[in-house]
Amino acid sequence: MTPETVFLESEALVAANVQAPASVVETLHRQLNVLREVQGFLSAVIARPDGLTIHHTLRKPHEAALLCAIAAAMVGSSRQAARELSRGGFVHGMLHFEEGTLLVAEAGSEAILACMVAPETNVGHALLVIKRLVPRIEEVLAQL
Amino acid sequence: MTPELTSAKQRFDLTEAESLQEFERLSKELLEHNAAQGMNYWAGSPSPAVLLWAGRIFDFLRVLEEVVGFLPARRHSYLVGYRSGRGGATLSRQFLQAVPEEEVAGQLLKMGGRVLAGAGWGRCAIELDSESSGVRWEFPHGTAIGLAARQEGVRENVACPYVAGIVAGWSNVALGTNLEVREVECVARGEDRCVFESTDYIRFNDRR
Repeated sequence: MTPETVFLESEALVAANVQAPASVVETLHRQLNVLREVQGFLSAVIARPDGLTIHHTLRKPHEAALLCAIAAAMVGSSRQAARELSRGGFVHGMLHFEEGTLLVAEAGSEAILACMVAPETNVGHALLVIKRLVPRIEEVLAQL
Repeated sequence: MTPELTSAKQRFDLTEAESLQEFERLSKELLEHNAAQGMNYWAGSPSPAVLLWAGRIFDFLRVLEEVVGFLPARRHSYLVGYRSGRGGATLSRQFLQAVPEEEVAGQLLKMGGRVLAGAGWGRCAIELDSESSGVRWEFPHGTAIGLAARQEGVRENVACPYVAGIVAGWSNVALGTNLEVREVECVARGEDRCVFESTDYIRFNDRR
């Protein structure tokens, strides 16, 4: 895939991006900062269950849009798998890459939290922080 | 298509005669066949145009939702439709250069309804709330995708996020807004019509 192709696909994701209400985003910004306590923290996004970006810590919006779309697809496909295998609901997801680990959790009906951490990160600690953060995000988004 | 004015709302209905007229224009005047390639070109666009069953557009949604679930699949279809609606409205806007600026938004919305009907997506009535810039596109007989989906049986979820995307992209160009559009009624769910409404932000606890 050429860099140009990546740009065009990202542009498509960003083009239809609406913004969550400013008051909510401001609170979520503070919530996401909690994740910076995790040693090895790289980036985080809060996505809508359909993959729209609600808030993120990345430098480029199109990178956040891609990560949000991927996180939503991860949760969606995990749910489908759980259903097919009769294993209940989705709790959290973890993908190990050569250069990082992606942790994904649902935050109620309105959001998904995805966090990328470095390979050497204590994933158990990261998950603990995420577990504490999820109900706070859920609470904020309940105001929508 | 005649606008009916209320206090803050404008309504643009498209008659059957106008739908037929637009079909003639789109399919006969603007569609060209390149026999050497065995391809069709529409309105001078360099991108080839093909005839495709509406049910196959629905299949893109159905196949994807079986893998990733409805909401992410919905958004994929929506984004593709959004690009189509945004591109179509941007292209169509150039034909309104002689129209007074304050009338462009309404004229462009009307044109969106005409193009959709002429291209076979379904005949609709469009309501514009001038105060909120909210729009409502109602397809009293459903959309072509909705009808195709209904042939497969009644669904739990709506079937026309692609059309919702077209409506959103077109409306946002016409009105200069950044609204989302969701389908609130769908013939594929067993309802009588397909209805699309704009919102500032979709909430999923009211999942549609």
